Amino acid sequence: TPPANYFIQAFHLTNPPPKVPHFFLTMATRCQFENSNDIGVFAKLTSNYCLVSIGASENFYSVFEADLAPYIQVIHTSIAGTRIIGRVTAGNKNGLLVPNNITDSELKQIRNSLPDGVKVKVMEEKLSALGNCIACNDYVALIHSDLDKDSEEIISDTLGVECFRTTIASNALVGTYMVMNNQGGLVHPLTSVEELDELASLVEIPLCAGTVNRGSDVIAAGLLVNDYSAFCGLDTTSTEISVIESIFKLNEVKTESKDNEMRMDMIKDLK
Amino acid sequence: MELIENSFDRPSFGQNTTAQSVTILCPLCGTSFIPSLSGTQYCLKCLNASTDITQGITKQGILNFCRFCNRYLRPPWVHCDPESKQLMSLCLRKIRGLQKVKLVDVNFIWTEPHSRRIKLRIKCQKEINQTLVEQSFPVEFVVHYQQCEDCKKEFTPHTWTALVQVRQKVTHKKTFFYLEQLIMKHNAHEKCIKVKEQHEGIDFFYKDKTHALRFIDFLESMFPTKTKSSKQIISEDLNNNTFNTKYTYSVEIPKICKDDLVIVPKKIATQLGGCSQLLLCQKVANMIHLIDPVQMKIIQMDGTKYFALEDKLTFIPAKGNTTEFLVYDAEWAD
Repeated sequence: TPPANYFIQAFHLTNPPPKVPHFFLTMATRCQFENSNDIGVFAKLTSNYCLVSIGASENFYSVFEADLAPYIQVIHTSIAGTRIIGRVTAGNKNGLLVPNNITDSELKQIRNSLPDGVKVKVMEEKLSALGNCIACNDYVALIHSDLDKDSEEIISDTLGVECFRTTIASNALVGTYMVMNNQGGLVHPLTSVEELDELASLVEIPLCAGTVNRGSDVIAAGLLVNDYSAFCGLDTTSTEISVIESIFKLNEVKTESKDNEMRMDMIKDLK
Repeated sequence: MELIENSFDRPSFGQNTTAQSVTILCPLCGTSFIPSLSGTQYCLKCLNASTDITQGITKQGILNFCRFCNRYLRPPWVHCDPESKQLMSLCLRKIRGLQKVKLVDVNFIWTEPHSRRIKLRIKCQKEINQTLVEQSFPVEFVVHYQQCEDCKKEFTPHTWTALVQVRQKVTHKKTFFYLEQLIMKHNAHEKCIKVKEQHEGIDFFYKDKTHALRFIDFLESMFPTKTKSSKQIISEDLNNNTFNTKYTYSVEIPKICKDDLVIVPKKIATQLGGCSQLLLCQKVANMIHLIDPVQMKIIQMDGTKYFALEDKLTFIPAKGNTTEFLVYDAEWAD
């Protein structure tokens, strides 16, 4: 992490807070969507926007709002009238891909609510659960082996990523069994050592295998991650949370090295 | 603690490769382990703790025990020593659900005998997702008192229909001991409901008149006997012309025993074929064998003859009236 973290902290009062909150005191937050621990199904989280589905009560929405609202957009929507927006869409800070059964009014609302610079594209693809077929961060995407060539080109164009067709633990649904941000990734626990090495070399970030929601192997259903925050189901044990925090590098502020300590002292002197 | 059920109808993972998966931290206890070896997302210890392979196996049972004859009810009433193999097999038969698991070890847990509880510790194994889980659990049996059928027969007072009274007018019990051995040898006590000891004899109770008659036939083949019978009407149904009766048979065994001395008056001695007045009893079987020590003659008497002469003869029992002599020398007499 850049040492700029601490300087920003020092000048916090005089300068307005930056667009991306680097001083976020992160710990993965546990929540539930209407008593279901599979929150990755009902929401989509990226570095500069967040999509949340319409629920019977607004508690879920308010969890996200509380943590993210001042910094990024939290958008309330449905896709094709359904609430499973996390699993049918795929996106990163550059763009968002939606399936072809999305209604026109929903598409219009999303286009209007998303920040500028985020491209929205409707995918004409047989495998319409895009969230299950594509696992991506801001630089690289892993896609389902059976996606069309055209779709692959659209993906790399819209999201601004490099696409690779792979499997996770011999299963083609890469979007379900893997979650990535720009610092790290979490995969299905039964991934073999060779496969993990291969994937890590493809995406060029550290990967580790683990579980979420008390031993569930459907990682993407239980976990929402971006570069500075994470949300997971209520059943997630503390062991799993510690694995999540360490692999996605969410507890940066807490880890203090010798250099940072020295810088803190310098700032104090300046003050 | 329940295992996540969704992993069972899952698409299979890592089936194409024989490669080992990476180590992960167990979500429950945080220890690192290799999930492909245990087959699930939990480490072996947590898998052991969270699954219950003993579900469906009965943990409590009832054993029936007859207080009077100290027997346990397996479908026949059997005698079992405490903490014996027979008792263990009896208990295991009562446990349901043992087919699903593999039994590794079974032990008795000590219980106070007066608590009327028998406890077993069972160790069993089951395979879950390619791992072998071993668990042990206790099973408790409560011992209930129940009267077995044989004891029931003995205790109800009015189930007998026929009674055989066997009497011998002597002071000692030698004959009855011998009779007991004979009965056991020939299994003549099968149908008998109850046996009661009386003054100068034994009473045998039977449910059926035919059984009693069979026993009397047996006695008559062993000894010379005199039988008298009588009956008593308990209840009657005049419309159907049926009567409920109780039959009593009195069987008398001769007083004479082996080695007894018989004093015969002169008249009867001539009747018997000119024997001397003192006779020794040699053997009592179907007939009474008397030996004349002077003339060395053996006289055989059957039952009817004996009972006809009984009053006229004097019997001196051998016991208490004999003195033992040691023979020093024998000489031929002319």
